[in-house]
Amino acid sequence: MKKIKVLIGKPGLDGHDRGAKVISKALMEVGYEVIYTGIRRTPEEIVKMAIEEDVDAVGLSCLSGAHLDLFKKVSELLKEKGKDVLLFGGGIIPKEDIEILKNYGFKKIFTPDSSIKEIIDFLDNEFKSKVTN
Amino acid sequence: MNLNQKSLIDGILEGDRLIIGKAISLIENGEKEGFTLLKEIYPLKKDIFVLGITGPLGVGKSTFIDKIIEKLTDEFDKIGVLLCDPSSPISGGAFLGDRLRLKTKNENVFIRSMATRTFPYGISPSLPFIIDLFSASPYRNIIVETAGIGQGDVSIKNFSHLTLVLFSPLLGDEIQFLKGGLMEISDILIVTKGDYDIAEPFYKTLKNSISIFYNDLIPVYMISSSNGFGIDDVYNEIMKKRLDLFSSDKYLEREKIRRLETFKYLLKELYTKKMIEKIEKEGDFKEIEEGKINIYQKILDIIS
Repeated sequence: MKKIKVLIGKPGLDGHDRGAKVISKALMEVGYEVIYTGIRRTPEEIVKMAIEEDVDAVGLSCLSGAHLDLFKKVSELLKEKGKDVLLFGGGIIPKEDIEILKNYGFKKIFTPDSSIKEIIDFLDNEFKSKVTN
Repeated sequence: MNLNQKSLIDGILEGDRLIIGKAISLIENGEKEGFTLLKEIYPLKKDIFVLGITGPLGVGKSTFIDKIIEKLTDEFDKIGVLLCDPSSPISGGAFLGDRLRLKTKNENVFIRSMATRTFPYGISPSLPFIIDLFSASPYRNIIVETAGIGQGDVSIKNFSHLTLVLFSPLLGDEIQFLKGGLMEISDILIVTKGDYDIAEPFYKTLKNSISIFYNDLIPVYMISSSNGFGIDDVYNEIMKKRLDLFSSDKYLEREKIRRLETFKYLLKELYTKKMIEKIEKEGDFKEIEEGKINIYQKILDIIS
């Protein structure tokens, strides 16, 4: 039976991961297999994990303001290594950056006013055809 | 990328990270393609060394692996790491949180997390098959970490060449060490969190019990993964036992067990699943739920 695997990643020096943990747990509760990277990972480490774990989606969290550089790097490395994956992100992200991140390949960016349900609905919608059970 | 069988096999033989990652998923998801692949690579297998790491939850298995891996990468070209964590019995999902402890950036280490998919005994039901997959790849020195386990969870022994059992201090008194199960599968016993004062008395109790009940045949170490205490000693013991394994009949004996147990798992995994699906399709599940079928008669009909 196919399980949808999601990597929740914390790139860069941002040490705040309560949100990433809460989202990881929430995704587990609705049936996703979630791999949590832990804090202070480099884009290279996150991409290596995404490949080895063969995940279907990578969600990045950043609260420090370094999202433009870090998210872009992760997206570029995934492409370079040939890993095709759904990208989404979240954190303290100014409205004007959302479009930029979408251009980097991030399908959806969640901000502090997003509910957990919105994140679950987004993934469920993306993967509903892939789940057999 | 079009992943046909040939390129899958070549990728595995060459150690292609992307392809091994995908191949594991095929097997984990129980897809026929995965088992066809295993059939093809079975004759290409080479000797593999599996180091099993087990113990209750929170004793420091992943943190210990983080330390020992630094030493193993000095000795071996490629290392595979398989990390099992429990699935949710409610949703079927999982929070796989082992690899966050592993800080290695070494490109020669391949790490994969595996949910137990509600399989008991602390291992993923596909673990035996994934070990076979790795034995055709360059990653032939493997570390397997079980999910946090209890006293009777001994399955890891069947698939490891060396089993390390980790305990944290205050885990129990000598009565626990008299019981069957976990103690009997230990090749090396490790008391973790040795930087705490409470560790030393526990270590002494354990060591004393091993001396009396096991004739001192199981080496016991106290370590601290946070300050590095005892890690070198455990590493040397692993290497000593590994050498002993390969320079005697012990390796072949272990391999015999692993092969047969892997076959039994195949039967359990695939054959049982097929039977369940068949019976469900015939509509008998509903009647079983409602008590309309004598389940013992049913099973006698099936096995006769």
